[in-house]
Amino acid sequence: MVNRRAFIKTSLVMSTLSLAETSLADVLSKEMEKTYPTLDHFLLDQRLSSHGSLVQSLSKQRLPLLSVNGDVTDLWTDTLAPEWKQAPATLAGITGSDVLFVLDTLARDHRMRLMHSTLLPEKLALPGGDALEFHHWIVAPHTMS
Amino acid sequence: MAVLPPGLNQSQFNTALTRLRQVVGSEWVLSSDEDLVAYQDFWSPAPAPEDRLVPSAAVGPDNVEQLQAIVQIANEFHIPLYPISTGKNFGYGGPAPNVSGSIVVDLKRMDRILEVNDKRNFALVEPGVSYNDLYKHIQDNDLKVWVDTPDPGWGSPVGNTMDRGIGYTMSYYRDHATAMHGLEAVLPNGEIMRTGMGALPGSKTWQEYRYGFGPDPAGLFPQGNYGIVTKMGLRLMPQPRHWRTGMITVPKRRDLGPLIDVVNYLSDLFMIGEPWYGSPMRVLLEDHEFRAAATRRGGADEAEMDRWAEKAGLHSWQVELQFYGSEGTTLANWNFARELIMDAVPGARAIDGESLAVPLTSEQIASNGAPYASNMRRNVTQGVPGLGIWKYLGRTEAMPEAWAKGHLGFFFIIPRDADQVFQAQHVFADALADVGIPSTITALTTPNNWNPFCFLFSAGFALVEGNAAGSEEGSERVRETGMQAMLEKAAEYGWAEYRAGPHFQDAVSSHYSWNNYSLRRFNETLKDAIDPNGIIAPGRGGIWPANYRNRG
Repeated sequence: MVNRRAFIKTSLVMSTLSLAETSLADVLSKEMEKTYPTLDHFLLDQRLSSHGSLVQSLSKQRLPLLSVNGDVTDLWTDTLAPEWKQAPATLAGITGSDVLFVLDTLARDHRMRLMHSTLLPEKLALPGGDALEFHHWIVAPHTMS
Repeated sequence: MAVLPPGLNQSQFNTALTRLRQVVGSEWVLSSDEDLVAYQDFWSPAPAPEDRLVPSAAVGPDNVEQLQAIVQIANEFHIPLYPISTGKNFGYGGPAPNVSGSIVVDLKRMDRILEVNDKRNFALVEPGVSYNDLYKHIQDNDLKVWVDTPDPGWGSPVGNTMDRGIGYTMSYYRDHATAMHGLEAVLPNGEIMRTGMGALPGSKTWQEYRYGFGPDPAGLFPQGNYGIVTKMGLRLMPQPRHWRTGMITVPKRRDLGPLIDVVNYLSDLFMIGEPWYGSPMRVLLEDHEFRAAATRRGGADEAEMDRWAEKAGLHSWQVELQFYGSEGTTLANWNFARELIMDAVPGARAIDGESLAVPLTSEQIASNGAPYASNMRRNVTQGVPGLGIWKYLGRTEAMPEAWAKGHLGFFFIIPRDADQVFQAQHVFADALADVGIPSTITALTTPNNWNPFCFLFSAGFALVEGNAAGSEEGSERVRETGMQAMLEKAAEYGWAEYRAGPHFQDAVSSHYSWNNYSLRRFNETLKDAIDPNGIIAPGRGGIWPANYRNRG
């Protein structure tokens, strides 16, 4: 089961920090270790301005990192679909809302739920005046009632 | 959030749930609020919770026998069922039922690929199979066939066909209801029926001659509610050896006429895949003066548009063509297309695109090597399903702020004719303007040619992109006024919507009124005979069973 107190604490921390802060990675990884000893994957969006520094920091924590750049197709087909077909998994990430939308939707089909999502300060400007938002999120197995 | 089925009290419903658990196991009967979040429509044009359609429960059978038992229970308790395949029909209701309180029958567990034949080019699948699944099966087994896929590959060939969805390759295959060959369905009385040659025990041609003998009821199932499809045959396009592209441009606004005529000719001779129409003049829409000209009430002035094109050094229209076959046949067909348009339109240009051996590499699919700005999404032209269409889009309960990136499916069927396109451009824009709703429809809006013998003119995306649905107030206006205005105006011109989610099904159906709704009355007569308790998806396709029709 998810430790909701840890989630809330993590989200509060993240909402007050700039993603450029590498200490963010330390905080995040420590929270994840406490709560998810069996974290299957941690997704980082390559469109994040601090992607490089986050990869460096989180790699040191030996988190199982995966990268994505908005299109989830290959990640889904090559990695997540075969795994989730066998069993639900625990997945966390810092990604655009588009990636989160796709994974949230797929997770529901595989007895998993979006357990936590926090909107982050960083936005990516898009053509036409729109902006892509980024979220920190956690998807985990859901026990049906 | 959870509601009871219409007409049942909690005690009766609890008994029904117990019976369902005995059929499929407790694990596969979902009734808590948290579980049922997965069966909401987060793209609903009705954001107010009280307006949303919600299920009472969901049940996941693993096989036909379990499904038959579920149908028997539904008959006993008079509980409406709403079948979904993978539940990804976003923009048209998604996994949410037509009637609040229905039990969603989630067919995802019925996910077997029963046969794929790459010599006679067909597949037989269960509803829980996704385009991604079928594609992977084909790749893993090195089969030389393609699956024609819609944009998001997470949908189901069965589910997509049951709403007359489309794809992007050759005409016969991209019209998925046409490519459907042979069904098996559980009927409202719990019996299993097979259509076409499937009615012959031991048939060897179930997926090859769709009609069988006598009337073919297979057409009753797409957008209908006469049963729950448990197996579907589909024709698959043989993998071509070569893919070639080219762009044709024409200089003047009026040249769209002969351009469409040439493309229609090539398409109806089955020489080209889906054509992609467009106009480079869209870049001029940033200019206020041009935008005013392109959105002029009653339609743009042809001479004025031609002056703008000439001043900007742009052609008025273009079409990207794609050819499948061998290197030689694709070149011959492209040369033929070039010859036809040069004869038809002074000043037309034919620009070579790319000439590639099939299968394309992943780099070739991801890149656009044509010497012009291409609007083609390459993966779908190659029968490769993906999820990239969601890049920069997406909206769920977790991200309700993503209003402007919603998806409202509205496409009107119009003839493949330039004058009809010009008419649609101003008719829909003016209809929305009359009710105070902005849209992005302009004199440059081009139709889609998904279904081979008609155009589909987009109206829904324009609403969302124009942010008309980008707020709670906006969404309500879209539902109550904008769509009604467009539906009514379209009917005046002999056009209508081809597909609709639950909120708009009755409104769309109301315009198919020829001879005092003789088609609807025919469908209702069938519905009452086949489903006397009205348990299968009441209201779907605008067909209400007798026990609902008098409720108002």
